[in-house]
Amino acid sequence: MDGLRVIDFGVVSPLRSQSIWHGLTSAAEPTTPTTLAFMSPEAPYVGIGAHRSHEELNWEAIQSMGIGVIRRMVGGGSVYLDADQLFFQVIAPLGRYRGARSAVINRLLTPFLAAYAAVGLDAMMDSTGEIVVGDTKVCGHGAGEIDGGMAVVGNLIQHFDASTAASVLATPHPMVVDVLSELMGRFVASTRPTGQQADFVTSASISLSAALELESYRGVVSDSEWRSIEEFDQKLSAPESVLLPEFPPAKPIEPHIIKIRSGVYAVFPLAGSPIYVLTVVFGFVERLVILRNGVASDVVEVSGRPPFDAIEVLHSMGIPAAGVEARLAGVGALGQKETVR
Amino acid sequence: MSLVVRGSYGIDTELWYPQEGDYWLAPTSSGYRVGFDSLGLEVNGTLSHFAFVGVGTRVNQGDPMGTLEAEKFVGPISAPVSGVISALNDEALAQPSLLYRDPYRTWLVTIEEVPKDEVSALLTGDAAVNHFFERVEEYRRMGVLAQ
Repeated sequence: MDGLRVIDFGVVSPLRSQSIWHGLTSAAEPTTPTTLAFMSPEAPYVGIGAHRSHEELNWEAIQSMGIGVIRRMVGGGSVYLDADQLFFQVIAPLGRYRGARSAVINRLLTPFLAAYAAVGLDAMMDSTGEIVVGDTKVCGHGAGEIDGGMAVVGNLIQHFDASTAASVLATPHPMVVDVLSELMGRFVASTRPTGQQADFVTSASISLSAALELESYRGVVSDSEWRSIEEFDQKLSAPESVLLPEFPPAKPIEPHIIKIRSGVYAVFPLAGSPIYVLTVVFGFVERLVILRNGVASDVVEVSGRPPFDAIEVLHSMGIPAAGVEARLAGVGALGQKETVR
Repeated sequence: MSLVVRGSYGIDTELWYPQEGDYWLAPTSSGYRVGFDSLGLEVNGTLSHFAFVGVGTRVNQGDPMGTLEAEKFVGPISAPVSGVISALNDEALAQPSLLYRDPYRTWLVTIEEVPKDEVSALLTGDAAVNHFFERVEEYRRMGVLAQ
Protein backbone atom coordinates (compact mmCIF):
# COMPACT_ATOMS: atom_id res chain seq x y z
CA MET A 1 0.00 0.00 0.00
CA ASP A 2 1.28 3.47 -0.88
CA GLY A 3 1.57 6.21 1.65
CA LEU A 4 3.08 6.82 5.05
CA ARG A 5 0.54 6.18 7.80
CA VAL A 6 1.17 8.48 10.76
CA ILE A 7 -0.42 7.69 14.11
CA ASP A 8 0.17 9.81 17.21
CA PHE A 9 -1.03 7.77 20.17
CA GLY A 10 -0.33 10.61 22.61
CA VAL A 11 0.24 9.71 26.26
CA VAL A 12 -0.27 6.02 27.01
CA SER A 13 0.45 3.59 29.84
CA PRO A 14 3.99 2.24 30.11
CA LEU A 15 2.75 -1.15 28.89
CA ARG A 16 1.03 0.35 25.86
CA SER A 17 4.12 2.41 25.05
CA GLN A 18 5.68 -0.95 24.16
CA SER A 19 2.74 -3.18 23.22
CA ILE A 20 1.45 -0.76 20.57
CA TRP A 21 4.52 -0.90 18.38
CA HIS A 22 5.27 -4.56 19.10
CA GLY A 23 1.68 -5.36 18.06
CA LEU A 24 1.77 -3.22 14.94
CA THR A 25 5.08 -4.76 13.88
CA SER A 26 3.98 -8.31 14.53
CA ALA A 27 0.73 -7.79 12.60
CA ALA A 28 2.41 -6.28 9.54
CA GLU A 29 1.48 -7.91 6.25
CA PRO A 30 2.95 -7.25 2.80
CA THR A 31 0.17 -4.74 2.05
CA THR A 32 0.42 -2.88 5.37
CA PRO A 33 1.50 0.75 4.89
CA THR A 34 4.77 1.94 6.28
CA THR A 35 3.79 3.43 9.62
CA LEU A 36 5.25 6.21 11.72
CA ALA A 37 3.99 6.04 15.30
CA PHE A 38 4.51 8.32 18.29
CA MET A 39 3.69 7.98 21.97
CA SER A 40 4.88 8.94 25.44
CA PRO A 41 4.55 6.84 28.59
CA GLU A 42 2.45 8.46 31.29
CA ALA A 43 4.66 7.01 34.04
CA PRO A 44 8.28 5.90 34.38
CA TYR A 45 9.42 2.32 33.89
CA VAL A 46 12.51 0.36 32.97
CA GLY A 47 12.90 -1.08 29.48
CA ILE A 48 15.16 -4.12 29.35
CA GLY A 49 16.85 -5.10 26.09
CA ALA A 50 15.87 -8.30 24.30
CA HIS A 51 19.04 -10.15 25.30
CA ARG A 52 19.70 -8.74 28.73
CA SER A 53 19.41 -10.62 31.98
CA HIS A 54 17.11 -9.37 34.72
CA GLU A 55 20.15 -9.75 36.98
CA GLU A 56 21.49 -6.53 35.44
CA LEU A 57 18.78 -4.57 37.26
CA ASN A 58 18.64 -3.19 40.79
CA TRP A 59 15.29 -4.71 41.72
CA GLU A 60 15.31 -3.22 45.20
CA ALA A 61 15.57 0.29 43.78
CA ILE A 62 12.99 -0.42 41.09
CA GLN A 63 10.51 -1.79 43.62
CA SER A 64 11.06 1.11 46.00
CA MET A 65 10.23 3.45 43.12
CA GLY A 66 7.10 1.43 42.40
CA ILE A 67 7.82 1.19 38.69
CA GLY A 68 7.57 -1.70 36.26
CA VAL A 69 10.01 -3.47 33.98
CA ILE A 70 9.13 -4.34 30.38
CA ARG A 71 11.30 -6.34 28.01
CA ARG A 72 11.47 -4.98 24.47
CA MET A 73 12.26 -6.98 21.35
CA VAL A 74 14.95 -4.63 20.14
CA GLY A 75 18.55 -4.45 21.18
CA GLY A 76 20.59 -2.40 23.58
CA GLY A 77 20.78 -2.33 27.34
CA SER A 78 18.43 -1.61 30.18
CA VAL A 79 17.13 1.95 30.17
CA TYR A 80 15.02 4.17 32.37
CA LEU A 81 12.09 5.64 30.47
CA ASP A 82 9.66 8.29 31.57
CA ALA A 83 7.12 10.88 30.49
CA ASP A 84 9.88 13.28 29.43
CA GLN A 85 10.55 11.09 26.42
CA LEU A 86 8.66 10.92 23.14
CA PHE A 87 9.00 7.51 21.50
CA PHE A 88 8.84 7.11 17.76
CA GLN A 89 8.81 4.02 15.57
CA VAL A 90 9.00 3.36 11.86
CA ILE A 91 7.24 0.08 11.15
CA ALA A 92 7.14 -1.79 7.85
CA PRO A 93 6.48 -5.27 6.53
CA LEU A 94 9.56 -7.46 6.24
CA GLY A 95 11.36 -7.02 2.95
CA ARG A 96 9.93 -3.61 2.05
CA TYR A 97 13.26 -1.89 2.74
CA ARG A 98 16.06 -4.08 1.47
CA GLY A 99 19.76 -3.84 2.01
CA ALA A 100 22.26 -4.36 4.78
CA ARG A 101 20.57 -4.00 8.16
CA SER A 102 22.73 -1.09 9.24
CA ALA A 103 21.96 0.69 5.96
CA VAL A 104 18.22 0.18 6.39
CA ILE A 105 18.35 1.45 9.96
CA ASN A 106 20.34 4.50 8.88
CA ARG A 107 17.96 5.13 5.98
CA LEU A 108 14.94 5.10 8.28
CA LEU A 109 16.58 7.06 11.09
CA THR A 110 18.35 9.76 9.10
CA PRO A 111 15.13 11.68 8.25
CA PHE A 112 14.64 12.27 11.98
CA LEU A 113 17.67 14.57 12.03
CA ALA A 114 15.39 17.25 10.58
CA ALA A 115 12.94 16.63 13.42
CA TYR A 116 15.69 17.09 16.01
CA ALA A 117 16.66 20.31 14.25
CA ALA A 118 13.03 21.45 14.46
CA VAL A 119 13.25 21.30 18.25
CA GLY A 120 16.60 23.07 18.41
CA LEU A 121 18.97 20.12 18.40
CA ASP A 122 21.67 20.33 15.76
CA ALA A 123 21.96 16.57 15.57
CA MET A 124 23.96 14.37 13.24
CA MET A 125 24.45 10.66 12.80
CA ASP A 126 27.99 9.72 13.77
CA SER A 127 30.09 6.91 12.35
CA THR A 128 28.68 4.45 14.88
CA GLY A 129 25.09 5.18 13.89
CA GLU A 130 24.29 7.16 17.03
CA ILE A 131 22.29 10.37 16.69
CA VAL A 132 24.39 12.91 18.56
CA VAL A 133 24.85 16.56 19.32
CA GLY A 134 28.60 16.90 19.77
CA ASP A 135 29.61 13.90 21.87
CA THR A 136 26.19 13.58 23.43
CA LYS A 137 23.74 10.93 22.34
CA VAL A 138 20.28 12.47 21.97
CA CYS A 139 18.38 9.43 20.70
CA GLY A 140 18.21 5.93 22.09
CA HIS A 141 17.55 3.79 19.07
CA GLY A 142 17.14 0.14 18.24
CA ALA A 143 15.59 -2.10 15.63
CA GLY A 144 13.95 -5.46 15.48
CA GLU A 145 12.10 -8.02 13.45
CA ILE A 146 8.89 -9.38 14.96
CA ASP A 147 6.86 -11.91 12.97
CA GLY A 148 5.78 -10.17 9.75
CA GLY A 149 7.31 -6.77 10.34
CA MET A 150 10.35 -4.80 11.29
CA ALA A 151 10.60 -1.68 13.41
CA VAL A 152 13.19 0.99 13.91
CA VAL A 153 12.60 2.78 17.20
CA GLY A 154 14.01 5.92 18.78
CA ASN A 155 13.13 8.72 21.13
CA LEU A 156 13.26 12.44 21.74
CA ILE A 157 14.52 13.05 25.25
CA GLN A 158 13.27 16.33 26.67
CA HIS A 159 14.91 15.80 30.04
CA PHE A 160 17.07 12.86 31.08
CA ASP A 161 17.17 11.91 34.75
CA ALA A 162 20.71 10.50 34.82
CA SER A 163 20.82 9.75 38.55
CA THR A 164 17.57 7.75 38.47
CA ALA A 165 18.63 6.04 35.25
CA ALA A 166 21.88 4.95 36.92
CA SER A 167 20.14 3.82 40.09
CA VAL A 168 17.98 1.18 38.37
CA LEU A 169 21.07 -0.74 37.25
CA ALA A 170 22.67 -3.46 39.36
CA THR A 171 25.95 -2.27 40.85
CA PRO A 172 28.13 -3.44 43.74
CA HIS A 173 28.20 -0.09 45.54
CA PRO A 174 26.65 3.41 45.38
CA MET A 175 30.07 4.70 44.30
CA VAL A 176 29.55 2.93 40.96
CA VAL A 177 26.10 4.48 40.63
CA ASP A 178 27.67 7.91 41.06
CA VAL A 179 30.18 7.21 38.29
CA LEU A 180 27.48 5.88 35.96
CA SER A 181 25.30 8.89 36.71
CA GLU A 182 28.16 11.25 35.92
CA LEU A 183 28.84 9.52 32.60
CA MET A 184 25.16 9.48 31.64
CA GLY A 185 24.83 13.12 32.57
CA ARG A 186 27.66 13.98 30.19
CA PHE A 187 26.93 11.68 27.29
CA VAL A 188 23.15 11.19 27.19
CA ALA A 189 20.83 14.03 26.26
CA SER A 190 22.77 16.68 28.13
CA THR A 191 21.73 19.09 25.40
CA ARG A 192 18.04 19.70 25.79
CA PRO A 193 15.57 20.46 23.01
CA THR A 194 14.09 23.93 23.02
CA GLY A 195 11.07 23.17 20.83
CA GLN A 196 7.87 21.27 21.48
CA GLN A 197 7.07 17.60 20.86
CA ALA A 198 4.43 18.68 18.33
CA ASP A 199 7.15 20.34 16.24
CA PHE A 200 9.15 17.11 16.32
CA VAL A 201 6.13 15.05 15.24
CA THR A 202 5.29 17.38 12.37
CA SER A 203 8.84 17.64 11.13
CA ALA A 204 9.50 13.89 11.40
CA SER A 205 6.37 13.14 9.38
CA ILE A 206 7.35 15.55 6.64
CA SER A 207 10.97 14.46 6.53
CA LEU A 208 10.30 10.71 6.53
CA SER A 209 7.56 11.16 3.95
CA ALA A 210 10.00 12.96 1.67
CA ALA A 211 12.83 10.49 2.21
CA LEU A 212 10.66 7.47 1.43
CA GLU A 213 8.74 9.30 -1.30
CA LEU A 214 5.45 8.41 0.37
CA GLU A 215 2.57 10.79 0.97
CA SER A 216 1.83 10.98 4.68
CA TYR A 217 -1.66 10.76 6.11
CA ARG A 218 -3.21 10.50 9.56
CA GLY A 219 -4.07 6.83 9.89
CA VAL A 220 -5.85 4.53 12.29
CA VAL A 221 -5.20 1.09 13.71
CA SER A 222 -7.07 -1.79 12.09
CA ASP A 223 -9.08 -4.33 14.10
CA SER A 224 -6.50 -7.04 13.49
CA GLU A 225 -3.72 -4.71 14.63
CA TRP A 226 -5.62 -3.94 17.85
CA ARG A 227 -5.94 -7.66 18.52
CA SER A 228 -2.19 -7.99 18.02
CA ILE A 229 -1.58 -5.07 20.42
CA GLU A 230 -3.80 -6.73 23.02
CA GLU A 231 -1.83 -9.96 22.61
CA PHE A 232 1.35 -8.04 23.36
CA ASP A 233 -0.36 -6.44 26.37
CA GLN A 234 -0.59 -9.97 27.73
CA LYS A 235 2.86 -11.14 26.60
CA LEU A 236 4.80 -8.11 27.80
CA SER A 237 3.05 -7.88 31.16
CA ALA A 238 3.69 -11.53 32.03
CA PRO A 239 6.49 -11.76 34.63
CA GLU A 240 8.23 -14.50 32.66
CA SER A 241 8.72 -12.15 29.72
CA VAL A 242 11.27 -10.33 31.89
CA LEU A 243 12.52 -13.11 34.13
CA LEU A 244 12.54 -16.13 31.82
CA PRO A 245 11.73 -15.19 28.24
CA GLU A 246 11.29 -17.69 25.41
CA PHE A 247 14.94 -17.21 24.47
CA PRO A 248 16.68 -16.94 27.84
CA PRO A 249 19.50 -14.40 27.94
CA ALA A 250 22.91 -15.28 29.28
CA LYS A 251 23.82 -14.34 32.82
CA PRO A 252 25.88 -11.15 33.17
CA ILE A 253 29.58 -11.77 32.61
CA GLU A 254 32.18 -10.56 35.09
CA PRO A 255 33.37 -7.89 34.97
CA HIS A 256 30.17 -6.18 33.96
CA ILE A 257 30.16 -3.56 31.19
CA ILE A 258 27.60 -0.79 30.84
CA LYS A 259 27.57 0.97 27.49
CA ILE A 260 26.57 4.59 28.02
CA ARG A 261 26.71 5.32 24.29
CA SER A 262 28.95 4.03 21.50
CA GLY A 263 32.53 4.55 22.66
CA VAL A 264 31.68 5.25 26.30
CA TYR A 265 31.73 2.37 28.75
CA ALA A 266 31.91 1.66 32.47
CA VAL A 267 33.44 -1.61 33.66
CA PHE A 268 32.92 -2.93 37.19
CA PRO A 269 32.48 -6.21 39.05
CA LEU A 270 28.92 -7.12 40.03
CA ALA A 271 30.31 -9.27 42.84
CA GLY A 272 33.54 -9.80 44.74
CA SER A 273 36.14 -7.41 45.98
CA PRO A 274 37.81 -5.04 45.72
CA ILE A 275 35.12 -2.88 44.20
CA TYR A 276 36.26 -0.67 41.36
CA VAL A 277 34.88 1.08 38.30
CA LEU A 278 36.91 1.85 35.21
CA THR A 279 35.56 4.21 32.60
CA VAL A 280 36.56 4.24 28.95
CA VAL A 281 35.76 7.25 26.81
CA PHE A 282 36.39 7.00 23.08
CA GLY A 283 39.20 4.48 23.34
CA PHE A 284 40.98 5.71 26.45
CA VAL A 285 40.63 5.01 30.13
CA GLU A 286 39.37 8.18 31.74
CA ARG A 287 38.99 7.13 35.34
CA LEU A 288 39.75 4.22 37.58
CA VAL A 289 37.98 4.60 40.90
CA ILE A 290 38.69 2.06 43.60
CA LEU A 291 36.92 1.62 46.92
CA ARG A 292 39.46 1.37 49.73
CA ASN A 293 38.32 0.98 53.31
CA GLY A 294 34.89 2.19 52.28
CA VAL A 295 36.27 5.31 50.63
CA ALA A 296 36.23 5.83 46.86
CA SER A 297 39.42 7.22 45.44
CA ASP A 298 40.46 8.02 41.91
CA VAL A 299 43.68 6.43 40.73
CA VAL A 300 44.72 9.66 39.13
CA GLU A 301 47.85 8.31 37.46
CA VAL A 302 45.85 6.61 34.73
CA SER A 303 43.45 9.42 34.01
CA GLY A 304 43.38 10.32 30.33
CA ARG A 305 46.02 7.80 29.35
CA PRO A 306 45.86 4.56 27.43
CA PRO A 307 44.42 1.61 29.30
CA PHE A 308 47.56 -0.30 30.05
CA ASP A 309 48.46 1.59 33.18
CA ALA A 310 44.98 0.97 34.49
CA ILE A 311 45.25 -2.72 33.73
CA GLU A 312 48.58 -2.81 35.57
CA VAL A 313 47.06 -1.03 38.57
CA LEU A 314 44.23 -3.54 38.67
CA HIS A 315 46.72 -6.40 38.39
CA SER A 316 48.81 -5.01 41.24
CA MET A 317 45.71 -5.08 43.42
CA GLY A 318 45.07 -8.72 42.70
CA ILE A 319 42.14 -7.99 40.39
CA PRO A 320 41.95 -10.34 37.37
CA ALA A 321 42.96 -7.59 34.99
CA ALA A 322 43.23 -9.87 31.96
CA GLY A 323 39.49 -10.36 32.19
CA VAL A 324 38.94 -6.61 32.21
CA GLU A 325 41.16 -6.14 29.17
CA ALA A 326 39.48 -9.01 27.33
CA ARG A 327 36.02 -7.63 28.05
CA LEU A 328 37.01 -4.17 26.84
CA ALA A 329 38.59 -5.61 23.71
CA GLY A 330 35.48 -7.70 23.13
CA VAL A 331 33.30 -4.62 22.82
CA GLY A 332 35.92 -2.69 20.84
CA ALA A 333 36.30 -0.17 23.63
CA LEU A 334 40.05 0.13 23.58
CA GLY A 335 40.39 1.91 20.29
CA GLN A 336 43.97 2.12 19.08
CA LYS A 337 45.22 -0.48 21.48
CA GLU A 338 47.81 -2.12 19.26
CA THR A 339 49.35 1.10 17.98
CA VAL A 340 49.48 2.62 21.45
CA ARG A 341 51.23 -0.39 22.89
CA MET B 1 39.07 -28.05 6.78
CA SER B 2 39.07 -27.37 3.05
CA LEU B 3 38.29 -23.76 2.37
CA VAL B 4 37.26 -22.36 -1.02
CA VAL B 5 37.64 -18.58 -1.06
CA ARG B 6 36.47 -16.13 -3.71
CA GLY B 7 36.79 -12.46 -2.92
CA SER B 8 35.85 -11.79 0.71
CA TYR B 9 33.88 -14.99 1.28
CA GLY B 10 34.89 -18.55 1.87
CA ILE B 11 33.17 -21.88 2.39
CA ASP B 12 34.43 -25.06 4.02
CA THR B 13 33.64 -27.82 1.54
CA GLU B 14 33.85 -30.54 4.19
CA LEU B 15 30.78 -29.26 6.03
CA TRP B 16 27.09 -29.57 5.13
CA TYR B 17 24.78 -26.70 4.23
CA PRO B 18 21.00 -26.24 4.15
CA GLN B 19 19.52 -24.77 0.98
CA GLU B 20 17.87 -21.98 2.98
CA GLY B 21 19.78 -19.80 5.43
CA ASP B 22 23.37 -18.92 6.12
CA TYR B 23 24.36 -21.90 8.24
CA TRP B 24 26.70 -24.85 8.22
CA LEU B 25 26.17 -28.21 9.84
CA ALA B 26 28.81 -30.66 11.05
CA PRO B 27 27.83 -34.22 11.90
CA THR B 28 28.57 -35.46 15.43
CA SER B 29 28.02 -38.93 16.84
CA SER B 30 24.44 -38.07 17.72
CA GLY B 31 23.39 -35.08 15.66
CA TYR B 32 24.64 -31.93 13.95
CA ARG B 33 26.51 -28.94 15.23
CA VAL B 34 25.25 -25.71 13.65
CA GLY B 35 27.12 -22.47 12.98
CA PHE B 36 26.92 -19.42 10.75
CA ASP B 37 28.77 -19.47 7.45
CA SER B 38 30.94 -16.50 6.47
CA LEU B 39 28.09 -14.97 4.49
CA GLY B 40 25.77 -15.20 7.49
CA LEU B 41 28.28 -13.36 9.62
CA GLU B 42 28.61 -10.62 7.01
CA VAL B 43 24.90 -10.00 6.44
CA ASN B 44 24.10 -9.99 10.15
CA GLY B 45 26.64 -7.29 10.99
CA THR B 46 28.63 -7.27 14.21
CA LEU B 47 26.89 -9.73 16.48
CA SER B 48 26.77 -8.81 20.14
CA HIS B 49 24.31 -11.26 21.70
CA PHE B 50 22.58 -14.56 21.05
CA ALA B 51 19.89 -16.44 22.88
CA PHE B 52 18.42 -19.84 22.09
CA VAL B 53 15.55 -21.95 23.26
CA GLY B 54 16.53 -24.32 26.04
CA VAL B 55 18.25 -27.66 25.62
CA GLY B 56 15.64 -30.34 25.01
CA THR B 57 13.35 -28.09 22.97
CA ARG B 58 12.06 -29.53 19.69
CA VAL B 59 12.27 -27.11 16.76
CA ASN B 60 10.90 -27.24 13.23
CA GLN B 61 12.94 -26.33 10.17
CA GLY B 62 12.52 -22.61 9.44
CA ASP B 63 10.96 -21.73 12.78
CA PRO B 64 12.80 -19.48 15.26
CA MET B 65 15.17 -21.40 17.51
CA GLY B 66 16.76 -18.26 18.92
CA THR B 67 17.40 -14.58 18.50
CA LEU B 68 20.45 -12.53 17.64
CA GLU B 69 21.44 -8.94 18.23
CA ALA B 70 23.71 -6.94 15.95
CA GLU B 71 24.13 -3.19 16.06
CA LYS B 72 20.96 -2.94 18.17
CA PHE B 73 18.98 -4.96 15.64
CA VAL B 74 17.22 -7.98 17.09
CA GLY B 75 15.95 -10.72 14.82
CA PRO B 76 15.16 -14.41 14.82
CA ILE B 77 17.60 -17.26 14.20
CA SER B 78 15.73 -19.87 12.17
CA ALA B 79 16.34 -23.56 12.66
CA PRO B 80 18.18 -24.87 9.57
CA VAL B 81 16.81 -28.36 10.24
CA SER B 82 14.16 -29.86 12.48
CA GLY B 83 15.10 -31.74 15.61
CA VAL B 84 15.83 -31.39 19.30
CA ILE B 85 18.30 -28.84 20.66
CA SER B 86 20.75 -30.97 22.61
CA ALA B 87 23.56 -28.54 23.43
CA LEU B 88 24.41 -24.84 23.40
CA ASN B 89 27.94 -23.52 22.96
CA ASP B 90 28.20 -21.42 26.11
CA GLU B 91 31.63 -20.14 25.11
CA ALA B 92 30.32 -18.66 21.86
CA LEU B 93 27.23 -17.32 23.62
CA ALA B 94 29.48 -15.49 26.07
CA GLN B 95 31.89 -14.26 23.39
CA PRO B 96 30.19 -13.80 20.00
CA SER B 97 33.49 -12.41 18.68
CA LEU B 98 34.76 -16.01 18.54
CA LEU B 99 32.54 -16.54 15.50
CA TYR B 100 34.56 -14.07 13.48
CA ARG B 101 37.88 -15.65 14.41
CA ASP B 102 36.94 -19.13 13.24
CA PRO B 103 33.45 -19.20 11.69
CA TYR B 104 33.58 -22.78 10.46
CA ARG B 105 34.65 -24.25 13.79
CA THR B 106 32.67 -22.07 16.18
CA TRP B 107 29.32 -23.77 16.59
CA LEU B 108 26.18 -22.37 18.21
CA VAL B 109 23.92 -25.31 18.96
CA THR B 110 23.72 -29.05 18.42
CA ILE B 111 20.53 -30.48 16.96
CA GLU B 112 19.66 -34.16 17.25
CA GLU B 113 16.89 -36.31 15.78
CA VAL B 114 17.12 -34.56 12.41
CA PRO B 115 14.68 -36.16 9.93
CA LYS B 116 16.33 -38.19 7.18
CA ASP B 117 14.66 -36.25 4.36
CA GLU B 118 16.14 -33.02 5.70
CA VAL B 119 19.57 -34.62 6.01
CA SER B 120 19.42 -35.82 2.42
CA ALA B 121 18.59 -32.28 1.25
CA LEU B 122 21.80 -30.84 2.73
CA LEU B 123 24.52 -29.78 0.31
CA THR B 124 28.25 -30.43 0.51
CA GLY B 125 31.31 -30.33 -1.73
CA ASP B 126 30.94 -28.72 -5.16
CA ALA B 127 27.15 -28.42 -4.86
CA ALA B 128 27.57 -26.43 -1.64
CA VAL B 129 30.24 -24.22 -3.21
CA ASN B 130 28.06 -23.39 -6.20
CA HIS B 131 25.04 -22.70 -3.99
CA PHE B 132 27.11 -20.53 -1.64
CA PHE B 133 28.53 -18.27 -4.34
CA GLU B 134 25.12 -17.99 -6.02
CA ARG B 135 23.83 -16.62 -2.71
CA VAL B 136 26.75 -14.17 -2.56
CA GLU B 137 25.67 -12.81 -5.94
CA GLU B 138 22.02 -12.75 -4.92
CA TYR B 139 22.84 -10.76 -1.78
CA ARG B 140 24.91 -8.37 -3.87
CA ARG B 141 21.96 -7.81 -6.21
CA MET B 142 19.73 -7.14 -3.18
CA GLY B 143 22.20 -4.54 -1.89
CA VAL B 144 22.88 -6.52 1.28
CA LEU B 145 26.58 -6.84 0.43
CA ALA B 146 28.95 -4.22 -0.85
CA GLN B 147 29.67 -4.50 -4.58
